[in-house]
Amino acid sequence: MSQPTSFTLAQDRIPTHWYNIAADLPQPIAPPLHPQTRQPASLSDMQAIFCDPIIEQEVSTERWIKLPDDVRAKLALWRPTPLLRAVRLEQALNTPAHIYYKYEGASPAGSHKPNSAIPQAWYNKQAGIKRLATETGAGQWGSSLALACQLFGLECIVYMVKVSFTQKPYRKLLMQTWGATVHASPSQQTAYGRQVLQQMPDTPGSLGMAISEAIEDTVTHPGTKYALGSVLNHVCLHQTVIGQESLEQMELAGEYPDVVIGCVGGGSNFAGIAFPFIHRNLHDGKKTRIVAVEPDVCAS
Amino acid sequence: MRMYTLGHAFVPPKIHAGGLRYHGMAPAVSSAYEQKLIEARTFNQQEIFEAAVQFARTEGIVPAPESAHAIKGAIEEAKQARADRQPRVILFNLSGHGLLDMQSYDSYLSGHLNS
Repeated sequence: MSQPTSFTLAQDRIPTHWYNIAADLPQPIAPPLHPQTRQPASLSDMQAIFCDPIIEQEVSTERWIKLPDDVRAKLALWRPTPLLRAVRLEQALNTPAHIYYKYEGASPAGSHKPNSAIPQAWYNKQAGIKRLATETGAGQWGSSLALACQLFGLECIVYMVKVSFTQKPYRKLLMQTWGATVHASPSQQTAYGRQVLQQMPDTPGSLGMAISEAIEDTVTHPGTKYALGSVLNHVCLHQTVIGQESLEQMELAGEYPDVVIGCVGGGSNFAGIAFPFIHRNLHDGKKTRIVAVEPDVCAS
Repeated sequence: MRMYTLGHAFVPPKIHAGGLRYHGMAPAVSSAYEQKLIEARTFNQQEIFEAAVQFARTEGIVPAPESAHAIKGAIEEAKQARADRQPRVILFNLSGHGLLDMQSYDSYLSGHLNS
């Protein structure tokens, strides 16, 4: 082969620290607000659903946060993920550009989501939690948390949006294979779910309903905490292993990106690849453009 | 949380990239956007699946519909480089495979995708 197209790292190159962009944003990230009072959420609001080490990470402004050894060991099940150059796509496009991609589909669950499910399960286990509740839409996050809970011996309860539960059974089966209990949401498991079912027996469910059920489950079961798969600072933090590995792999390829691109829903996979490059832009005078891509119908 | 949002009452249209239907965006990402550290682009579903299939047919991996948005972004950058006759190094995150999303590929391949 004349030209290498795959850039892989040994297991000992799994990053030792997560990169926390909160340390580098010229203006601080606005704190979460309590949904009812609209005031910044208090520590006790957050403690009702998250364990203390997770809350510490959520509000931390420390730039580098160490990965626990056991978390790195579990990530080593599939990390470092490969970085590849898409030479056949380049040829098809007849472009002088070089296109590289970081492949997070190499995880057991098939996406980047386990990068945060593993540390979230670990911190909860250390805090003495026995059971994690969450919601999932199509099932990417639910299956990732199911895997992580199985690896650390936690019980996993997933409220899955009903329409996905019935129409897309494979990720439900994946969660069950990894030992999770999966409820079609709205469900009979919670007061909120029962109320919705009474008013709208045929509802397809929604992510909002599933979140409400998972949180009610959390606060009504001792030893249970809630886990969220995107949006929050600590989730974005955990995903920064993606960009850090990419930086090293681009070095192996002998190039540095002019542009870094990720899709954005809640924002965690985008944060994962982008934030370490933003760090270089802010500290090393790099001028990489960072591009977030969204569907036109849901642009936020 | 302070973030760019479509509001909690937003009921997302049925698109196949379910993971991108969330009504809000991470405050850390919103904050970076506000501070002009990142750019944003949008594409429609038809364009996304064209990119997904082109990627599958050239590079082999069948991408998750969510990840295909990043592929489409990369393809547009590569086309711009061609138009400019300038080299450009592009890196994107292929966040997941689409092997459990084949139903949405069925919709696209059979011409039933609503864009």
